[in-house]
Amino acid sequence: MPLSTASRNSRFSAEVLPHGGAAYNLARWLSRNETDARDIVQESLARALQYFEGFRGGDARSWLLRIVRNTASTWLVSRPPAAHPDQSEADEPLEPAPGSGAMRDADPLGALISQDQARVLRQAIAQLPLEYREVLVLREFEDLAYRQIAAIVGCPIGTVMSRLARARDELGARMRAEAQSS
Amino acid sequence: MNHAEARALLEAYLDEQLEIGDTVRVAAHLAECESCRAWLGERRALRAQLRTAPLRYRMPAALAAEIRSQAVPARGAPLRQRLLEMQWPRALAASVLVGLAGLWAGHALTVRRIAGEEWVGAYVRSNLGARSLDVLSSDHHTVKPWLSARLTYSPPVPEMSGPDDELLGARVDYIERSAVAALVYRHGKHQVDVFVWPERERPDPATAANAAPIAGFRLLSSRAAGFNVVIVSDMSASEMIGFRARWSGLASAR
Ligand SMILES: [Zn+2]
Repeated sequence: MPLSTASRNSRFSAEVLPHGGAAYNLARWLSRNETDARDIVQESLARALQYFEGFRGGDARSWLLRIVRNTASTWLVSRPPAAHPDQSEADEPLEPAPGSGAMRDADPLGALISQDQARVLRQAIAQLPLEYREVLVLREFEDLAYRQIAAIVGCPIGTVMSRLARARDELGARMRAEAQSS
Repeated sequence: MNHAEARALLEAYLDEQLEIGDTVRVAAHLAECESCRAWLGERRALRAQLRTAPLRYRMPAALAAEIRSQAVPARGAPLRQRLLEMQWPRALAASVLVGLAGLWAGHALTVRRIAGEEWVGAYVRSNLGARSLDVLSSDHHTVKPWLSARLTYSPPVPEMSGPDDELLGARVDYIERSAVAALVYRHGKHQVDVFVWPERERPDPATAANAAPIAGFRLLSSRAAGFNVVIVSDMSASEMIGFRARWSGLASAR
């Protein structure tokens, strides 16, 4: 193996692989099933390694997430979602968004969420149209700035904000309906 | 700042994405507008739920381990690159393709087929093209569900992670217009494709039976654990037989 390949691989391991978790979470939410998410992550990392020479440094997480997003969109076009119903999520590991501890301190009223409410939220997010779902996931679970999300999704910042607003309107309505019915 | 102007910026205010001047002006409006405060309160409550509920998917440990092992230089180049560096007999393969094209053209006239040509064709095309593997993994926990999701059956996927034999991944091929699982292994410097499908289902295993080598590519068919098996590689005949014995042993042991 040439030396340049070795040093490229170790740089790749240090700069890009730490964002594998973010890549998986995005792929999982976009594809809505575990099998496709694994494939998308594998394919994205293979592409990322291939394009790594052209990466000028900087925001490696956004760079990788842009590749994941593009890989997922070609992947999902070639495989209609009807053929891949949402899989059961009972045994899949889920965690709160990073930095949620700080949120909890800042907003004690919102800290309490029941398992039922979490399940309703999860289903409501999964049912959002793809373009709303992706900005919501990037904003709430990866805590990315509008500017970063715009670069990943490839749209203007104003569009990020309006999609986020629509996604939250939808989720808010679902949660209110749930609160009234229970 | 009037109500409409402030309302248009509230989403970005919530996300702390406004520049300082707008932030101050929106805050001033909030101090005097009950309706904007109520809206912001609901949004904050929703966001708190989104960020405290377990909604972020954690990468499965097996996938994380696999990704690390592929990119760590100590173990060599990543699998995909190792595949490319394996130095397939490209010129030879190209000549086989030309030869096969000739056979297919001839087939239209003579309605005579060379045994095994479709199988060798699939092997050669996969080595020439970019699409050597659809799923790249040495872990049967990844490969098997991937295949099961795309086929009507779930083939045995022996891992063969020994020093000489290694599972590289898999793809789905079409042989005689039927989808077949192609497991891809490495034996030494050779790529070995193992086609697996249920007995009594198409394609007809007779299409691979008694096939003579085609330009150095050999076929070996057998059955294991209720499945038809066709092995294609450019290994020697004795290597083929040894590989088949090891593969079948593992497949039947499950
Ligand atoms: Zn107002």
